[in-house]
Amino acid sequence: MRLSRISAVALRDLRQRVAGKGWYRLPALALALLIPAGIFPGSGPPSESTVENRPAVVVSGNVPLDLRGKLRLDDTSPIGISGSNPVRVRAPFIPGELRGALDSLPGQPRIEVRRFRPDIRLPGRSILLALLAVSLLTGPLAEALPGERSRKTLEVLLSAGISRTELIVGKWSAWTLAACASAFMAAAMSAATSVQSPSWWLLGLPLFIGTAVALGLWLVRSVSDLVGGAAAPMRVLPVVSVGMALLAWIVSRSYPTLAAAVPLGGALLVAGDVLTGPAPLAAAAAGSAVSTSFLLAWTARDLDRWAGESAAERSGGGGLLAIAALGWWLAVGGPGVWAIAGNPGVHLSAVAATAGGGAFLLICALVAAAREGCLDLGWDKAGCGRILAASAGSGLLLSLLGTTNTALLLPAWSAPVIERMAAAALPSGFSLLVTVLVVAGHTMLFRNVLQRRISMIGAAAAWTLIVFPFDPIRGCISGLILGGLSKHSGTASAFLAHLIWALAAQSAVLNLS
Amino acid sequence: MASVRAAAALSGAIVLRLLREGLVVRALAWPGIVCALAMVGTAGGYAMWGTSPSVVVADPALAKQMTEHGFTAELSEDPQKEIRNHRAIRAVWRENDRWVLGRVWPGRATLRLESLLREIAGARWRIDIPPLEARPTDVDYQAHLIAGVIGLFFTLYGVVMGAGTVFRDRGNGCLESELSLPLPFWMHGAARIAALSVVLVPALCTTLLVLHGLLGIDSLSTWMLHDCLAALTGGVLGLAATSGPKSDKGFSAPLSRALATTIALIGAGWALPQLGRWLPLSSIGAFLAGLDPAATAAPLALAAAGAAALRFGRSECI
Repeated sequence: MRLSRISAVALRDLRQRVAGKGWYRLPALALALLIPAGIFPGSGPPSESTVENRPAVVVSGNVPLDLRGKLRLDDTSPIGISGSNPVRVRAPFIPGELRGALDSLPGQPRIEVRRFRPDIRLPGRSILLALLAVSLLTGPLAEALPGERSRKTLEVLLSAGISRTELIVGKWSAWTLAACASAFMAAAMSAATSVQSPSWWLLGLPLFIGTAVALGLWLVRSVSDLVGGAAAPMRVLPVVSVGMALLAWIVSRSYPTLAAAVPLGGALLVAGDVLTGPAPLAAAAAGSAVSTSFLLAWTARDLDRWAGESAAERSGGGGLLAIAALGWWLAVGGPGVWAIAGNPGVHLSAVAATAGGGAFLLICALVAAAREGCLDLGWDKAGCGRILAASAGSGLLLSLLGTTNTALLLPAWSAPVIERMAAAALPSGFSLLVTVLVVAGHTMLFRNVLQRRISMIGAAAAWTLIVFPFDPIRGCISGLILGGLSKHSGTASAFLAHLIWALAAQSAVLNLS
Repeated sequence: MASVRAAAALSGAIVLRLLREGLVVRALAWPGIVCALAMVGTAGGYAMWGTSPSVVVADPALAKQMTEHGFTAELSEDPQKEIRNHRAIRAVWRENDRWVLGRVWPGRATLRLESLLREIAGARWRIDIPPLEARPTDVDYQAHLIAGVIGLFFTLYGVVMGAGTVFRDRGNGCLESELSLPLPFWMHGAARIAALSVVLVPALCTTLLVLHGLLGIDSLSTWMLHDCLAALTGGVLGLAATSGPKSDKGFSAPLSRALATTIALIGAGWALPQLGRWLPLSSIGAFLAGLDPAATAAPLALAAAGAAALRFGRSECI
C-alpha cells in the first residue's frame, strides 16, 4: 500500500463533501450535535431516594399508637397497616420514610437493610459522543461507495493506477479521521467543562470509530444506490454496536481484558470508560485492528461485485422465509413467553398478536410480489363457477382433517407458546376481519410468492414448518391441497378454500362452546 | 376524476420503485423484529435464569429455612465480605444486637427476603407482600417508551425515504420524465408524499400491533395516529430538504440536515412538552414525556405535507 495514494483518495473524498459554498454545513452540523452532547451535565444515575423512597408515607388501615403523627391515613393508599404486636405492613415496596417510622417502634430484634454499590461501572458521556460521531456518517458512507457507484465514478477509480485496498483504506481513513476530529473536539469540551475527566477512554474513541467506519463500508459494499446505502448503516450500525457492547460487557464480568478484544463492542466499552487501563486498551486495539483489517479486505475484494440481481435471485426464498418466520413466531408465540417467565396472568391481546402476525406476513408477501412484478391473483372470470366449486370443496375437505398434536412430546413449560401458535395457525376464535387478514397473509406468502420461488412442495414444507410446527401432518396435507388449488385455479381460489376451512373450524368451535 | 386516477397511478409507480429498492422488507421490518426479539429474549432469559433468588448467609439453620422458602442459600463465614467484594448480591449476617440484610439491588426478591427474615427473627414489624399484579404499573411506561421509539425509527426512515426518492429519481432521470407529464404541478409532490404514506403507515401500524400483542400498549390508536403523522412529517422534511430553489442537489448534506432537524424537533417536544404537544413531530416527544398530543398536531402535519407538495411542484416544475 502506498501512503500517497491513500491520502489522495482520502483528500478527494473529504473535498467532495466539504467543498463549495456550503462547505461548512456538515462540520457545523456535527459540532452542533456533538458539543451540546459533550458539555451539558446529565442527571446521573437514579438516586436511592427516587428508586425506593417513592411517595410520602400515606397508609391505610389501623395505625398503632406509637406511629400516630408519623404516618398519614388515606384509605386509597396501597400500603396497608394492621395489628400492633407485631405490626403487619402489606405493601409492594417499603418507602424510606415508612421504614424509618417503623424502625422507631420499641422492641427487639432489629433488622437493618444495608445498601451496597453494584459492581458495575456505568458508561460515561464519551459513549454518547462515540455513537453520535458514527451516526453522523450515514450520509458520507452512503456517498463513499453507493454514491460513487450510482454516479459511475467508481469504475473510473477502479481503472486508475491504484489498488482496491488503497482505495478502500483511503475512504476509510477520510471518514475515520473526520469523525475522530469531531469526537475529540466534543471530548475536549467535555473535559474542559468537567463533565467527564480525560482518561483511557480518549484512546478508545478512535478505536471504536475506526471499526464502525470499516463496518459501515462493508455494509454498503454491494449497494448501488444512495438510498439503500444510507439506510443500511443507519439500520445496522447502532444495533450491532450496542449488541457487541452487551456481549463485551457480559464477557467483562469474568475476563475484562478478553472483553476489550470483542470487535466493536470492546472498543465501545473502552471509549465509554467502562473498561479502563492499559491492558483493556491494548486488547481493544488488537481486536479493532484485526476486525478493521478483515472488514476492509472483504470490502476491497467485493468492490466490483455489486448486487445486480434481485433478492429473490440471490437467496431464493431464504431471506423472505426467515423474516416471515421470525415475524410470525414472535408476534403469535412470543406473548406466551411471559407465562413461562412467571407471569401467566398478564393481560395481552391474542387478537392483536394474531392480527399483527397476519398483517406482517401479508406485508412481506405484498412487498415481495410487488418487487417481482407478479401481483396476480389468478382470478379467471370465465371459470368463476369452477373456481368457486373447487374452493368450497377443498375448504370442506380440509375441515375434515383431524389434528395430530406433537406438542405432547415437548416439555410442559412450552405449553403457553404452543397453545397460542395452535390457535393462530387456523384462526378460529377471532373476528371475521382478523380471520380474513391472517388467511390473506398465509395465502399471499405461501401460495403466491413462495410457491413461485421454491415450488409447491417447498412452499407446503415452509407452511408446515412456520405455521403448523406442532401439527405437521395436518400442515403438510393442507399445504399440498391449498398449493395445488393455487397452482391450478389461482391464488384467489386457494384464499377462498382457506377461508372456508377457517370459518368451518370457527363454527365447530362455536358449536362446541 | 382523471386527475385522481393520474395521481393514484403516479403514487403507485413511486411505491413500486421504492419497494424495489429493497428498503421495505429489510428496513421497515427491522425495528419491529429487533424490539420483539429483545422482549421475547428478555422474557426467555428471565424464564431460564431469573427465577431463583440467591442469598449468602453464615448460619446453616438459617440457610435451610431460606432454601425451604425458595431462595438459593449459600454458606459463607463472612457474608458481609462476600457482598462487599461483589461475589454476592444479597447477604444476611448478625451485627451486635441486630440482623443486617445487605443488598445490591432493591426489588421483589429482596423484599421477599426481608419479609422472611423478619418472620424468622420475630421482628416487631413484619411485611406481607401482595401478589404480583398481572400487569405491573412500570410496564405501562416501558410500553409507552417502546411505542415512542418505534415512531422515532420510522420517522427517521421517512426522512431517508423522502430525501432518497427525490435524489434517486433526479439521478436516473425519472424525475424529469415525471415532470414532463401533463399533470398539475402540485401533484408530483403530493404523489410522493402519498407513496411514502402507503409504504410507511402499514409497516408502522403492523409493528405497533405486534408489540401491542407482546407488551400491551396503552392508547394504541393515539400512538398509531401520531407515530404515522410523525413518519409522514419526517418524509415531508426529507422531501423538502432535497428539493427547493436553493437545494444543492446533493444527498448527504440535505439528509443530515433533515435528520438533525427531525431529532431536534422530537427532542424539543420531549424537553418542552407543553409547547411540543401542539406541533407535528414534537408531539411524539411530548407524548413520550407523558403529555397527550394536542388536536392541532394532525392538521398541522397535513398542512406541512400540503405546503411541501406545493413547494416541490413549484421548485421542480420550472
